[in-house]
Amino acid sequence: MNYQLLKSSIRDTEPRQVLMLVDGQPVMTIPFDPANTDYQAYLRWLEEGNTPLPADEPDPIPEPEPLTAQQKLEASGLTVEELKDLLGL
Amino acid sequence: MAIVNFNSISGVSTISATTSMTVGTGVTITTNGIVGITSINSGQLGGSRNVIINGSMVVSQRGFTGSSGATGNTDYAIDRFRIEHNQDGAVSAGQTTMNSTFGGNAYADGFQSALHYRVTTADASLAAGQYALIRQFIEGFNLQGFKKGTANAQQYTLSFWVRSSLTGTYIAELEDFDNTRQVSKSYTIDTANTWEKKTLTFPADTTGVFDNDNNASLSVNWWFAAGSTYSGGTLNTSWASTTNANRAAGQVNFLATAGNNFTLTGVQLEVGATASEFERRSIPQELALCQRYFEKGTIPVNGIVGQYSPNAASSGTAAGFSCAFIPFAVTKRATPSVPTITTGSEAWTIASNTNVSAYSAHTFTALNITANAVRFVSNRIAGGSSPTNASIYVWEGDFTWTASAEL
Repeated sequence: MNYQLLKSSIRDTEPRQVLMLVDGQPVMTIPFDPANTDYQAYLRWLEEGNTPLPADEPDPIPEPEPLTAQQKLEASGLTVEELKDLLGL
Repeated sequence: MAIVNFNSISGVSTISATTSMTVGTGVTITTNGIVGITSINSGQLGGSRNVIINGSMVVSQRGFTGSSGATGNTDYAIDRFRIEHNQDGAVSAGQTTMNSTFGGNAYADGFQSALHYRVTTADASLAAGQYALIRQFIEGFNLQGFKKGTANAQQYTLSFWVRSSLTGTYIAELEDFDNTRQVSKSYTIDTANTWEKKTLTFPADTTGVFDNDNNASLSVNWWFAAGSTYSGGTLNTSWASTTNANRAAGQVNFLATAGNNFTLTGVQLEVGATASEFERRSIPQELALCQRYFEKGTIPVNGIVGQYSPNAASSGTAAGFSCAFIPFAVTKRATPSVPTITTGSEAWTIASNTNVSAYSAHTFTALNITANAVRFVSNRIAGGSSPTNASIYVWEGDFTWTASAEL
């Protein structure tokens, strides 16, 4: 059995819970609540000199695809002629 | 109908009425104590007398049964009742349904469910530190009526129906975790395979107050086996600092023979020296009390359980993108632990904004947990690297989750 620290979202700067692993596979999420008996067992595991696996860094939010010139024009609501007039072309 | 009206009676030792007596308005009844009454309405005197939860064994969310029971050390065989053992044999415990034949006097007393504990592999020779028991932990908030550790400390009366295939001496124990104290009482199974009602009154304890919090303050223990570490001394029948050797002296070795079975129901622990009528609660009440410690929920087939969340991107083995937010029916005692859920190979479908992305096994990990709710995140599926409008729904089978805040 092992444990891995776990961040809840990309906004977390510190882990707020730990994942129990059995044979390398996740089996249970344990919150950092002193009244939780599984957390108490985790603290005893730490006191025995063990160290949990570090938390993986959260996946970034996917960047949106850049807009094409045509999409930008459609988003503006202008026609090509109106845009030319606006630019004095 | 005879009606007797009076303002005062003196020198009267007996009042009898064959029909009814009416006390007029404005009359104050003063007494220095009522004695000799063994029953008032033959039923519940008031709510919440019984600090045992699920004493009638009706709630079994985990689904263990008498024939397919819990076996592991610290497993909950039935809601709030945990088996605990360290021995060379094996046991199995779960809920059993009673009828007029099997239930005997307990059935006739209104109990149709029970906890059934049986030995599947014997351990006839216990090592010193080996033992087996059933216990229920009780949190401090629910124990303040015993006034333990004060000058007004109250007695404890434990009553229960029991049926065992093995006659002999058994031990029931109250174990105080806040002050490392305990007290034990023995009881006898007089006749094999026969329901017997047992009532044990434990003394009051003016030492050691129960903490007024949500942690385990007391455990009620029914012993089945005790090696010399727990039975080598003299049974401690008065509250004292815990000495292991005095906890279960005299306990018969119930594990000695495979097939031995022990059935328990109608458990009540209450303030005072008298066992009152078992406190009946409705099923919604009993279930809600159990769900403060453990809850199991199911989202039915074809139900949408979650959708894409921009903040769902997570870490490690839980890397994913789809959220399932599930509120609990009952606020938990503490923030619960939530097991990871792995589905079957075609049990789930995750749909993108354009099409179904995949049928495959998925792992759902709890990433945010409070005492009121949990949010699951699924692992990233093949071909679903950057979805923008994913959702999760049940394709085959139900989505069943659990949350545990057991003591």
